Parts: sequence; C-alpha cells; structure tokens
Amino acid sequence: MKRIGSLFQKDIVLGIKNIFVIMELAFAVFIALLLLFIIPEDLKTEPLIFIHNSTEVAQSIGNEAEAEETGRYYVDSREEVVIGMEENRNALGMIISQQDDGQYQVEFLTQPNTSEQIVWEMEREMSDLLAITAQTEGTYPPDVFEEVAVTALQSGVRDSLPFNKRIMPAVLMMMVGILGLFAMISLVGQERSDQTIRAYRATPASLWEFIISKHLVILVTGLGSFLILYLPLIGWQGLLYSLMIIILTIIMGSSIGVILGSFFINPLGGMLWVMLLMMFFALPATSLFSPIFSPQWLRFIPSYHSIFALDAAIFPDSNSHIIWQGAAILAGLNLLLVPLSSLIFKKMIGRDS
Amino acid sequence: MKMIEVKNLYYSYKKNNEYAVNGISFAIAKGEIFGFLGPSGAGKSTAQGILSGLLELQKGELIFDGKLRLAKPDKAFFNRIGVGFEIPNVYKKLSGLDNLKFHARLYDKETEDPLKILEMVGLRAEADKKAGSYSKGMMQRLGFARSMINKPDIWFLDEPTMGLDPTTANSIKGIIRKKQQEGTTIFLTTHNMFAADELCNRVGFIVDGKIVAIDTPKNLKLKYGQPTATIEYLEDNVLKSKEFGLEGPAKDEFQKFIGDHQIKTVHSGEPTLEEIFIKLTGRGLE
Repeated sequence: MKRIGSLFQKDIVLGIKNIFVIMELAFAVFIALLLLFIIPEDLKTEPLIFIHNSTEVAQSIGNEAEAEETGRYYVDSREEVVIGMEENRNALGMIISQQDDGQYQVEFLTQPNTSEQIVWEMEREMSDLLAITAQTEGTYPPDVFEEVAVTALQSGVRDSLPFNKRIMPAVLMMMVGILGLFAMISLVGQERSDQTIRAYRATPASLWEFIISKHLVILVTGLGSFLILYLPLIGWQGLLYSLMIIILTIIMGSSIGVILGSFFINPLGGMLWVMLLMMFFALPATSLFSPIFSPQWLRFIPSYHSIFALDAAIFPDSNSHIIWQGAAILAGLNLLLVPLSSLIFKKMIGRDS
Repeated sequence: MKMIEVKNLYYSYKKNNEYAVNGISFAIAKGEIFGFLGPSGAGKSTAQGILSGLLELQKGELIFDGKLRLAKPDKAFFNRIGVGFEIPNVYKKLSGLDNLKFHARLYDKETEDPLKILEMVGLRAEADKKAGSYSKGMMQRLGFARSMINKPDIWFLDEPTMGLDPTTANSIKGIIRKKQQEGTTIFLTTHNMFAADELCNRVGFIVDGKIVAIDTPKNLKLKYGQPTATIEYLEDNVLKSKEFGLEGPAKDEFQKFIGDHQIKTVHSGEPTLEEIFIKLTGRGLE
C-alpha cells in the first residue's frame, strides 16, 4: 500500500500536468455549460408513426392537423405506410382495420432493427387503448369512453424529459467512461517514451502496482468530470447507481487503454486507434436516441450496457433491472479485462531492455 | 568471494538463433568494479539488462552472492541492486528531490537521504526545481543519484560519465570509487576507454555478443600492447620526432638512434585500451 500510495501521489501530480487529463476536466466543464445553456431542452427525438386507419375506432390518438406536432401521420393505404417508413428510418407503422367478424385488428410495422422491447411496449399500449375504446363486453356506458384518456404504462416520464438531460447517459459514457482510455494511453505512453518505466522496473515495485495507480488516477479524474457534468444537470437523482456504472465504465475504458498503451511507445501512435474505438463505443448511443434502431449486435458493444444502465439510473422507471444487468455485464468484463490488460502490458514491457 | 557469476548466457531479441548475447561467461568479485567495453550494438547493454532483471533470462545461469537467480528475480534482488541508465530517464515534471523521494519509497529497505545524495552529485541547490528545467548533464546526475538511493550492494551503471563535463565526470568517478571502498560491487558498461581504464579493476571486451578478452587494464596492455618511446631530436637545426617500440628489434634501433642523434626530449608511452581493443577485435569502440 505504501508503494501504491507513493505511485498515486506521483501519478496525480503528473496527471494534473498531463494535457489529456486537463483536457478531460476542461471538456467536462465545457460540455456541462453547453448542455445547461446552449443545447435546447425540447429537441424532439421521438419516432414518427405512419398510421393507416380504415375504421372509425381510435381516432382519439390524433388527427392529421396535429401530425407535425405529434409525429403521427395518417395515410390512405398500407403501401403509403411502408413508403413513409422507408423514407424515415426512425419511423414506425400502424394499420388499424376491422375484420369480417367485426373484430378490430391493429398491425404494427417496425423497422428491421427495432428492439423487441419497443414492439412489446407498443403492443401493450395499443391493447390498453383498445380495451377501452373497443371493448366488447359492454360494461362501460358510452359517456365513460368519451372521458377516458389512454396513457401507456411506460409513457409520460420520458416524453417530458428535456433533451439536454436525455442525452446525459451518452455524454457521460463518452466523456467520462471512454476518455479513461484516452488518458491511460497518454499516462502509460509518457512513461514509456521518457523511459521512466525502465527505472521503475529496476525496483522491487511491481507492474500491477504501476497499473493500479494509473487506474486510480483516472478514476479520480473521471469521477471529478462526472460530478462536474452530473450534479448541475441531473442533481442527486440516481447518483449512487450512476456512480456505480460510471466507475465500472471508467475501469473498462482505462483497461482497454492499458492494452493499447502496451503496443505504442509514443502516446500519439495510439491515437488513431483511440478515435476508432471511441466511434465504435459511441454507436449504441444511436439506440438511445432512436429506440427503433436496436439490433442485437449493438448489445455486444460494452458501452451499450453503460449507456442504458446510466439511462435507467438517471431516469428511474420500472426498468431498474437494466442497471443491475448493465453493472453485472460491465463488472464481468472488467474481471476479464483488468488482469488481461496487466498481463499484456507486462509482456510487452518486458521486451523493452 | 564472487558476487556475480555468469555462465553461458545467451539472449535473442527475436527468440531465434540471432543472439545479441552469445554464450558469455565471467565472474565479478565482491567490491570489484568490472567494466564491459564494446562498441554500440556489441551486446553490453543487453547483458546488463539481463543481469539487472530488466530483460528475461532466456538461457544460461546467473549466480548472485552464491545464490542462483531465478528467471524472474524476486523483490529481494531488486532491493539489493541499483541501475543507472545511459539516458536521463527522470520525471521531468517532478522536482529533483521529489524524483528521489518517489523512488526511495519503492524499496522495502532503508534508503539514503535524498538531500544527501543530491549534495553528493552537486544538485543540492537545484533540489526543488523541476527536473525538466535541468540541463542534460544535471538530469544525468539526477539519474545517477537515483540509482544509489537504495544503498545497492550491486550497482549497474551504463555510461555514467557520458555527456558530463570533465569536472562533473571526475566527481561522479569519485563517488563510484567511494562506493567501491564501501563494498559495493559495480558493473559498468561503457565505450569510454579512459573511464574504464581509470575506474575498473578488470574489463571485459565484448563484440558481437561474445567476450573477446577479460583482464585488468594493466595486464591487457602488457599482454597485447607494446610500450613505445617518442623522441624529439634536432637534425639540421630542425626539431623532429620519431616513435619507437621498446621491445624486440625495435629496442636496439631505439638505443642506436639515441646514440646517433641530438636528443631533446624522450616520452615513454603505453598502449590505450582502445588500441588493445582494436588489435583484438579489428574494430573501434565508437
């Protein structure tokens, strides 16, 4: 512990003077200001819905005049629904028809990559609606139907979220979690290019202590930038859960940074890979803003679980299991990545005489 | 008593038959300064890397203080050694004092007082300045100071006087001699023949990963070199000079020349280690 304390003290001094660590904190302040004062709160991110309704039922869900405002477009045929969806990849389709036996049928058309959860929620929302507007038992008098407002179980909370808060999970994941990768390459690369690590290796201190200390510095820096972003925008809501997820994400990012840092003596040499990886890790954010786009393969990108676990932590609803599911996946991944990255680092460093 | 024994040491960076160190064997006595002399790329830094545990032990045996050293040295080994590097690899954003304090805390044993060490290498007044503001020579001295912070029994030094002005180089040599008197065993790699001649009890010549000769500098000169004499003499009122060997037929020629000419000065000379090196290897040290 004495050694880790000493290493941490040295790394925190070097980290403070390291341009990438300063950049991370400066970016956090910049992004927080941007989200607070520049990014509009009411930027619309909901999907469009093309509806073909050949019945008189469920007219309460909207009308043509409100299309721009609600994102619901009424069209005259099934073909027009499909065309509308092809032109708008963030759109869904709904066809309401009445069968010969008098039963109403609601058919949903989804995009190829729409998640099952979204489809399931839509089915449930429509069942709720139809159970009231087209109930067959006749237990409700007609005046009830005129006064009933149909609200889906999952709706409401997210619809009212300001856009600058809605994007917080993705911002936190990229700004705090993945920038650990950036900082780690910089810190490790500096030691390798200055060859200070050679002097370190000629002491009884081990390379895992060296790496742990760097992880700690990045965690401290990351948590600093996390709080800079989180508290002004979200406040205390979901802070502990979010902290848990962001800590796991930072460790994941900095472990990947250790692996990349093992292959590049000069920190600048690894920057192309950092950029590519950051773009790769940013992909799941598209699913957050456009839930219709949620192919299975996105779940194999670790940042998917960070983003959605953070989302569930920041905006609590009945999906709290997503937090624990994300935490478990990230923790499992870290259990693999932390020792693996240290091993790779040790092996590659062993080649430096 | 032997402090370091090296038996049939091999090392290949590509892990094939291209050896940077090719089957070398030697021993260093406790309290001895042993110099490894060779040109760049000869394998001397690789050999030092293996001995100091920075490079893995691929093939061969290393015995330190009577104990077989494992392929991966333990903490006890690193507590006993000090390593000085050719390049000034110090933390430039930390002060000289903080560099030493940080390094001292990495050991599990009593260490030197950083200020005392800085005083020894002439950096006491600059202790609180960032190492990045030091000149190259000052950083070199800081690295040298760092290598002895743990009071090492075995001290590996790579080109300790390179890039230093003569006064500072002399002061560094003085510290090395003092440490030797205190019982430290010193393994010094250099291509500076004068430093090696001045400091080392014995030197080993290494070329292409192989040891060509090992002995005291004096013995090497006696064995492979020839003493010379340079005479300055007057001829037709012009001062001229001529060099003679002092062994074999050249000795008779020298004696005859003295009798036949008006001699002004006679300077005896002995071969340098570099001349011996060139004679033995056919290559220079640079």
